[in-house]
Amino acid sequence: MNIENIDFRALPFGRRYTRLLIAQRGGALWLNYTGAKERPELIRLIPTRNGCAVRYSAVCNPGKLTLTEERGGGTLELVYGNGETLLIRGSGGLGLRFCIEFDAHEQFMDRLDGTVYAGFSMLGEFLFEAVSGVQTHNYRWIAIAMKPEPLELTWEPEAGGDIYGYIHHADYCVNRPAAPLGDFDAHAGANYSDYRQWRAKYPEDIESPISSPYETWIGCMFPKGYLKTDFIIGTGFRNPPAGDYVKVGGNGDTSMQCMYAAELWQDVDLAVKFLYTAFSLQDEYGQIPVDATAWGVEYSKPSFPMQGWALLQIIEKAGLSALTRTHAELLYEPFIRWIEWWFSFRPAEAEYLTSDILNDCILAASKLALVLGKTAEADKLQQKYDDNREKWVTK
Amino acid sequence: MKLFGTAEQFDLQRVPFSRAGAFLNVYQEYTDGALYLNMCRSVQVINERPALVKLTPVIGGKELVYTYSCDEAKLTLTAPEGTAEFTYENSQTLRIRTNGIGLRFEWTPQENESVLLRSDSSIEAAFNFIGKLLFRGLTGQAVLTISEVNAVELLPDSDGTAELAIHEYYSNLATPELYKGFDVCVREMSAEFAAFSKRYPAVAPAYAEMAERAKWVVWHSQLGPRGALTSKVVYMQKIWFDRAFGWHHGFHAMAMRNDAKAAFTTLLAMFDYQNEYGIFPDNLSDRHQETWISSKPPIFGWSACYILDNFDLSGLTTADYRNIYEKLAGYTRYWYTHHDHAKLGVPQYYHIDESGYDESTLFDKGLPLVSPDLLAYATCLCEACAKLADKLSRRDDFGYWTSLAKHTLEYLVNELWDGEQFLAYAPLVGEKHKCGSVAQLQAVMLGHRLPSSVVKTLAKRLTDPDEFFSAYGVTGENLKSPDVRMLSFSRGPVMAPAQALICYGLYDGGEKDAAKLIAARYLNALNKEGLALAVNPYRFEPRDNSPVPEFKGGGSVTFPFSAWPASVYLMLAELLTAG
Repeated sequence: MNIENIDFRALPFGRRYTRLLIAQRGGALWLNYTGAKERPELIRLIPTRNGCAVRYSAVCNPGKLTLTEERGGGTLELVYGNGETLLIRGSGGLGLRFCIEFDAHEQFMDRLDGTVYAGFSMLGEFLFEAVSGVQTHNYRWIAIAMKPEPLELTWEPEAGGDIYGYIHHADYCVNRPAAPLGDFDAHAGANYSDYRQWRAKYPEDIESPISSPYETWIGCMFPKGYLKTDFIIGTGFRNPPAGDYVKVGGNGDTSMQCMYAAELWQDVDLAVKFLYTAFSLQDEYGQIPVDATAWGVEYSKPSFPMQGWALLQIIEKAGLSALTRTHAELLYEPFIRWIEWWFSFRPAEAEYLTSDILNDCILAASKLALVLGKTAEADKLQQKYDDNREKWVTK
Repeated sequence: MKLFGTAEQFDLQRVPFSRAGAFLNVYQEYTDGALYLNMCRSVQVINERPALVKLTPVIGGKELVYTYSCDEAKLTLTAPEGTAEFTYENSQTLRIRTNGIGLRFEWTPQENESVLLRSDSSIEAAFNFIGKLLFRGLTGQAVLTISEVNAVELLPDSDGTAELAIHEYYSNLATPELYKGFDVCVREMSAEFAAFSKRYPAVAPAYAEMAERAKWVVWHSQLGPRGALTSKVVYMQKIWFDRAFGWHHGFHAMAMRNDAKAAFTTLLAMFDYQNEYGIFPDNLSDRHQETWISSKPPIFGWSACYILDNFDLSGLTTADYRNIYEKLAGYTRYWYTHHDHAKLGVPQYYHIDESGYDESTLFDKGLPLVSPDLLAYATCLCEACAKLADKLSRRDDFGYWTSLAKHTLEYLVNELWDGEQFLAYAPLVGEKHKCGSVAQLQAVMLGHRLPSSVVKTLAKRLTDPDEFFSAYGVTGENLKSPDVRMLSFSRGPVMAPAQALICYGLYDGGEKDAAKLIAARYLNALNKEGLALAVNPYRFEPRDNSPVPEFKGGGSVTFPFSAWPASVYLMLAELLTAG
């Protein structure tokens, strides 16, 4: 993967800890919000000159997305700023048009203080402000339909000038960003640097069967709603087109967190942190839900119990000594509760799964017990693991 | 008292058999007439899968014809061959007792939904997102059949009887060792409802029967704390609109005339979710489904003022007043700051759902909107804060809120009254806007705070049959308006909240006869039509005589019973009874 020119048709432009995404879909450019499964086409972005759409080429790296006008040489640059903020800088006379369609009970409004905002059900509020340039819109409310007409919001440069503005997202009560917008280029540099640091957590020659470091980097979300820890929202085993990435962007398969954790073995702190994400969703009986997003947790089925496999992978590659007491304290009890849940609530499946993946959980718990100095428990768990192996080999 | 049934005036198509705290309910699906188990959880606000598990009396595999009826604690299905009775042991356990017949429970699983036979022979059915049901035979035998349609059949013992417990939970449940006797469960559920009913005063005989239904609907619509619900909230409905909405709680509270403490607890239930800016979601559920891009009308000051002025407050402490004050003050500040970015000095509607008049002509000029109904709510918020600050001896706060209430009221009367009605101001287009929506008359809710000439003018228009006064009460849109639509939410039908706001305002403003006239007409309509959010006085559109089709589904505002109009019924019955 050429990180200096990410295939923008296959992967969106994103950043760690933001749910905002820019994706190309059907040849058009869209601003989307991770988790908007049913709304992959939320806000369309159209580069313009003198109000007319222009053809452009896109170059995307982890720091910046640059759109260059094919004729005329104008550029639009997009960079993630502080928090949930997208900064946009235009030069060479280019403007930008945002096209938005709304569902009933959704909202666009001019707040008459230089800002406008668009509100979407369950997806929150997006505030727009052109700090340089002129912001106009053609808002018209359709009372009977309870929504605005399809809307165009335009940023145009003043004569000979450039445009500079931002889109800021909040779940509610969206306001101008509290902190100053900061230096555009510095944000681009910092984001790129953050990606580099993330990339360094993986082996140099990684050929991930799960997803690329760039994908896990842009999939890494801050805690929100049901998600109480950092959580990698993933794409699964495939690299779908960018549009589909957004469609499945809300995929919070809890067993996938194990795979992400296992691949991060070079940084055991981080690996343990992501291994714990699934355990942070355990119910009072010890079950890990099959899927979780900020908006919902799916307990109708359990997670596939590959947490033990993941921890054993980490131990195999980093060594048991890399696991600290703190790591073990975080994971041991949740592992025990998880194993017990299987035998209490899914005994028949548990019996079968001890042939393989659930037995890995038992062995992993034994290793954690060792780190904690609980030798009796460790021996007991090891014995159970051995007995299961023996039984299944015999069978 | 028989509340609902096949031989009663109303049946379970319009409201489920349920109890306080229960997500598992029994209702009659209007499309096929069968009874279903329902769980009031859904991905969408309107439940997309209300008919979850079909319930059929059987004997020897043969489906039986039956009737049913329910009182506050027991649902009884009666077939010639025997009976099946339903009650609740607790909010998560439905109990069933059959005599002479069996029962079949059938459901079509969706993709990835499982059913599991547990080692104790109980049967667990998992429904994506909705939760799980555990069928546990206590006597007789529960038998599972798995195919495209899964079924649990409860077969009676040799003596012809059987008992079943159905447990509802979201993730897992440790089943109890012991169960109470069925009749004990009935008695306990009945006693719990009776205790709840004491919050309400007695009403005149003409309203007593429907008031009983209304109290039961409000009682069983209470949910939480559970899941993401950190307080006890009142859901709008349990079959379709499976959410708690903010301003409904203002009406629920005002109806609880006999218990100020319970009234304030109910009023503030949604304030558990108040954020750092002072606002809380428009609606929410136990599954963290909070809608934040809008809120509901800020009725809480109006309700609080009414309770403070009219209820027996002897049970309230200084700590109670402080709690109420801090929540209301934060909420009021939100409206004056986050809803006035244009710095007009009064709040504006930023979203249609904040008005309760969603598709109304009130919004013909778009948003933001300085709307008279909003300024009435805001005036009352400030006044309530002032009253509470006074009780807490916070003199500066008292002065601040009193002054802000006066400023807001003066803006309303001086800037927006045109001699006939209040106008709305749309700052984006710089126009004052006059329309046919009753929202522009609703500021009459301010009662004595308004000049008497204003109240008198509004009373005259609201009781004029050529304008708003229909055979069922006050319509949402002027009947002469070209925009009136009976097949709508707020452009025509007689809506419950508007009747309460208008009647209480007229009464308080000295127009008692007008208030009682509207209230009596509306309650008589509900006695006939039931406790729906809206009732249609016409089966045709007044503007062109085109027919208004009857629609029984969950999206109809004129069909399901809900807790919201139930409390409005109780409020107005109390007003008419008190005279």
